[in-house]
Amino acid sequence: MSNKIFNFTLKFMTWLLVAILVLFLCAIIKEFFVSQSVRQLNFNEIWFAIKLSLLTATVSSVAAIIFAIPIGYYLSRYHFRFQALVDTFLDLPLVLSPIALGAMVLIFLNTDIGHMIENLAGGIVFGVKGIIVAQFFVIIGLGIRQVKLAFEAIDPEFENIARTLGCTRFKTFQKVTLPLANKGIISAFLLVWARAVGEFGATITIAGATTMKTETIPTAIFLSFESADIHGAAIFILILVAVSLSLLYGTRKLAA
Amino acid sequence: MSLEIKNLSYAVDQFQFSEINLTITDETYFILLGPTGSGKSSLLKCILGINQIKTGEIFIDGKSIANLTVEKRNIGYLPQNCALFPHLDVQENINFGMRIRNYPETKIKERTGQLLSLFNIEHLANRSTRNLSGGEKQKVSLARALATRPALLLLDEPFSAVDEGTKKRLWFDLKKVFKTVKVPVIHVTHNFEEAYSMAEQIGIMVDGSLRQIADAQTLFERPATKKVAWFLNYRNFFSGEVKEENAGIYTINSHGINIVFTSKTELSGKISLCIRPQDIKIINPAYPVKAELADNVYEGIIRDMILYPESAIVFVKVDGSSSDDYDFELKFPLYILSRHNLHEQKRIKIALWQPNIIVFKD
Repeated sequence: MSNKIFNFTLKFMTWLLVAILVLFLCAIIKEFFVSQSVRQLNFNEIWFAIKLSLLTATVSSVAAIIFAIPIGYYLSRYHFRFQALVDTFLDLPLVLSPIALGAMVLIFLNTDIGHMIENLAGGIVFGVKGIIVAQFFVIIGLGIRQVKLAFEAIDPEFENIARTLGCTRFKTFQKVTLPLANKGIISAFLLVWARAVGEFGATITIAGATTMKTETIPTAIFLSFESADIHGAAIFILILVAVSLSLLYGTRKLAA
Repeated sequence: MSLEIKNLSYAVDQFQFSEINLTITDETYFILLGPTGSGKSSLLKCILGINQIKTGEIFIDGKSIANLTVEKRNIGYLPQNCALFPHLDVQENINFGMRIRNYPETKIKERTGQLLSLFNIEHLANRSTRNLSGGEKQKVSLARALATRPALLLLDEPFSAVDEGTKKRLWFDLKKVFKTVKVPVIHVTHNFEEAYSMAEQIGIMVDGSLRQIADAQTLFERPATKKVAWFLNYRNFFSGEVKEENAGIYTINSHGINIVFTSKTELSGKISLCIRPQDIKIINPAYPVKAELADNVYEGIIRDMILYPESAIVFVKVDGSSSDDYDFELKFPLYILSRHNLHEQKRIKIALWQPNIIVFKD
């Protein structure tokens, strides 16, 4: 293959995919302007879905990063028995279908321990807490991966130096590792947050799809489609696209 | 201050070292010299406590530190890449250790000022570490390591990130600094010039073993084993059954070359000799041969030559030898080439400087 054809192939593949995605977006925008809403979609319902999505995604993402920081650090810096096994197991939420993950949580909540947790926490199944649990388990794998990568990118000599200068392991983590990994951790947070905002499969399995109760943006899209309300779905899709694009762009800027 | 290492052993994956014994007293500048992968850096990390030793003891000023955590050992460390904290400026890097150890603010200011002035880097105090040159980074990193007055300073290839031009200037600058701060130093390198010009004592580490510890001159003139000599880039090894000609005068014959040498200790059986490339001289037929050279004069042909900016390596095949390629590797300053009009395939006469022939008992 000549250099010209090779270069052309690279450009063509990239721009082809960009064009397809832009076409998708154009179709939704056109639908938004052309189609008529079949059900009365009021501002309160849209605002509720946005608020609920942002709130649950923020809570689940903060929780996921709180777990991901120690786990990611442990996996990146320590060597222990069955490490490969543990590492693989922690990837499970990343590869498992969200519906399967949601079903697993739901089935677990139906066990004795599950009942106990449900009684203690109150209202996980078919409640807002259920959305947070669903999002948490869907994003935790991604969170751990991203945070682990951020820690792995730090030269361990920085930590060695800090220890020779009098830092305990914790002090080293606090004074050197975390400040050096902060960009990576923030970018991990934004990524899992964007993923949580778009989460649907596990959410609908655990929390259901009740209007003005467990209606996140993806759930609202599902409810609109279910009632053949393309106009309503287009509104929520455009909101989701706007949130996702601005977040992805922000993450990229931060990483640069 | 002193460091004593007794029977230290360490193993990780396929690599291990054992029976490391080393004593460094007072403010000795000790260079640990060895090829890449010989275990020098691992030994430093064992002393620091970063690598867990298998057995053995490490004492600083007579106190065992083997069971202390890294932060309690009070050993300064400078890694290969300097590892200056990028989120802190120069001044903050230098006083990092003092802040962690809760020095009073006045003491921190005073000590930071002293170190900035000692290394002549006052103008860098508020600069970001990202914009420093290799030499500046190294000075800041050293100032940081010395800030808390460590009992021992460990330097791992400290000049690896410094360009050649700056390197030699830094050797002299730092030598002066270490004379002022009075702390024993272990400096790891694989650079012979660096080791020779900076060390008060040199330890050679090859394949996880400390093979020889001596002052620079002794070590470079009298390597203790073939491995050490080989690592020091000495070639011209000859092995054979030794014969005593007269009291203290011996000969060996190795692939057709007869070599006469002297030894104060009695020799028998198979031995090896090493003649350093710089100890083989080119004989000018117009002048009488010196007594030290007279016993080992050979005629031969130049097989190959390698020219460097300041020196030349010449490979000579001696008449009557059974080797396929060449017998002797000679090294001399470049001007010798023109003085003797040397070129490939030229026939020349060479001689070995007998007092410097190194003998290894096999």
